[in-house]
Amino acid sequence: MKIHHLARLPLLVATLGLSAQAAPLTFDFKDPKGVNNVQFSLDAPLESITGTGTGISGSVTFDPAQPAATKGKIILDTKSLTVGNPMMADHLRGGNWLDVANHPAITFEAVSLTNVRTQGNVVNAEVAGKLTVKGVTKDIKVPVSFTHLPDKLGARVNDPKVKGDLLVLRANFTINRADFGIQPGKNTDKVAETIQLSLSIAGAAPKA
Amino acid sequence: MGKFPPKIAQGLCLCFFPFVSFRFNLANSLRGVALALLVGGLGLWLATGAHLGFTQTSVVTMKRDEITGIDYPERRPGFVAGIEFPLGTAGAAIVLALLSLAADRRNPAA
Repeated sequence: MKIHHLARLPLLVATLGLSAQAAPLTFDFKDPKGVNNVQFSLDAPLESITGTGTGISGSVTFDPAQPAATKGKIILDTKSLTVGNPMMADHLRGGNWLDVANHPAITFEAVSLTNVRTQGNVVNAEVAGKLTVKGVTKDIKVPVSFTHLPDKLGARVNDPKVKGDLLVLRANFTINRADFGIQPGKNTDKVAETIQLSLSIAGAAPKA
Repeated sequence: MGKFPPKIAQGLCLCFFPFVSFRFNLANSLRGVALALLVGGLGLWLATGAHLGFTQTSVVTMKRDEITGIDYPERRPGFVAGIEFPLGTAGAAIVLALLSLAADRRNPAA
């Protein structure tokens, strides 16, 4: 009887190992390296207005075995948004546009994933979620690619003793500023209503 | 070859080489400042890359994080003169040139 149980032990260990590997991981997107960024671009008569935002935080729970169950929230500090022209940057953060004093964050909360396609360590999906800009929340769908990099955290922080995984999220999508109450129908001759957004962020899930 | 009208030659000389036959009067000083503004504005714009957009006080260079493969912008202080520089200085130069003509008319003997 005892021998019979012992014979099952490797199977039990293997099962536990697999379930531990398949457990959902929570990735923290507060990036100490300052690499995480969102880039935005708006058409204007003289030039495309392009800018960046780097104040990104939030967390995403991702299970490589069940990517469709991914949930999470990404937060962008609006004070971190900037453009090359200082006057334009002041206008961008001012009350008429993003009003960063009263709306310090832009958030995106993932609700569900559809059209999930996995290829190696890359998962592509349509993420449905709630985007909040300037206090206005809208349901949107965003095509997102998730790249799972197992055991790469140590290499990223230049410390091989640190164990953990990385998750890289990339998304390119457009929003309409009028949908979020940003100068709706105004200044369309100076700045387009459509804003192109490009998000490239990496989150870390340390292992104990 | 027709003879070049001396008045036009004198005017061109005065516009483009005000210091060649410089006389210290208001009109010539205004023309000198106008020319300096025009050349300075255009020169600064050309020297910083002839950027057709507005002036930038920071410059972005794209870099790549080796581990994650993320392309990220690195913003550092830098000055790129925008199109408002040559346009603004040209406008100011025109105003000064017109003022110099007015000064000439007020004091034609100078």
